[in-house]
Amino acid sequence: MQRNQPSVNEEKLIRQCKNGSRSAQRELFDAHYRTSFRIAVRYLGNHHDAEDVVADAFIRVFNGLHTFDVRTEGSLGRWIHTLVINESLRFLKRRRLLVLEEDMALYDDYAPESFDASDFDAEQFKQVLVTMPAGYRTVFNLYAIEGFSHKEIAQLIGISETTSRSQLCKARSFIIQRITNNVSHENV
Amino acid sequence: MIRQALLEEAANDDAAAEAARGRVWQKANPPKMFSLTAVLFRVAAAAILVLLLSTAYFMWIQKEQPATQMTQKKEIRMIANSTDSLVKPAPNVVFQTIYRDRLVASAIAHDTVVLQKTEVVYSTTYDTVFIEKHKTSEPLIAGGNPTDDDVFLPQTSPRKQVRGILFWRTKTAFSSNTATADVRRDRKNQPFTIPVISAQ
Repeated sequence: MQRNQPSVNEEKLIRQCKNGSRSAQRELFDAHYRTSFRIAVRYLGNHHDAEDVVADAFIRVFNGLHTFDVRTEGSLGRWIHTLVINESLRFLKRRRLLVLEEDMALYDDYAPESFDASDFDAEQFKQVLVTMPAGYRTVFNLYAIEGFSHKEIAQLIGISETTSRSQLCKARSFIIQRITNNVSHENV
Repeated sequence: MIRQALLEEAANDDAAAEAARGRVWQKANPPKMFSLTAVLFRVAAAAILVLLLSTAYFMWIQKEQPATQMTQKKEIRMIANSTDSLVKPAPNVVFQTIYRDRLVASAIAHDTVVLQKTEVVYSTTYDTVFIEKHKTSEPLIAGGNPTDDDVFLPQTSPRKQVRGILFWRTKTAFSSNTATADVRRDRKNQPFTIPVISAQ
């Protein structure tokens, strides 16, 4: 598989950041801030916590940049976004918001593959995600948005794969229920 | 489709994100105000600034340049003065051109008048003066109440006859370029051997 080479600008920017250039760090921050903030909001559900998490994530970025090796175009962005996700998960754990319980009955009754999200728009999803319990939201984000497998999610959060599956089922049920209710209210 | 829409939405402008941008940046990368290097640099810069300001102030209050010597030669006219009762009036008004060297040190300014006369009588009515022999730099204290090694008060300085070449050094600058000298004839065919000098 052919990898995209990293751009000269990105390499130069990283080199300047490693040398401690504050302006280069600001440029790096500005380039990735908005996406990082939105990722944090998607995991945390509010802007206030997202500010803290993104700030902590960028502290880790600046501290860990000397260990980062640019290999492909966009790898820096993916690395930063991974740090933001990890920092979000760390924040949720610290606040004890990631209380995930395994509910096998629900998992057995519900087949995730039957969920068809094509009828809903992104704005509806966004609103439902914000109101979703942190546990559901986290697993849903990791699985449906980021594309992690249940095994990876289990390792990331420190739960079993079965719990991850059940949380995803609950999240989908929550979404369908909320969106269906909204549609019903709008029809009425 | 939803996933793609959410991912794309993440890149859209967000007013809340923009409002928080500055705060997040400050939290993520606060300026290093208290690093040792920065503190040392600031202290050194402040010390240099204080040194420069104090030097400039010292120079200003002295109105002179520090530790430099400038020679400013100005012409001084020696004019015969016949009013001094102790001195016989000169048969002719004598104009003798002498030069004043201004010695500027860090603290005080001297005017030095060199008279190429072997015998002089001086009075110190207006200036604080001292006399020293040429080339020997030996001050010739003329009595009175010297306030330091070779300077004495004008009120108590008597007239004194000094043999040698006169260095007339005043602490204050001349108010004009005129000095008055009374001259008398000691012997025939030896005019102007004893000038009496008073500073103006």
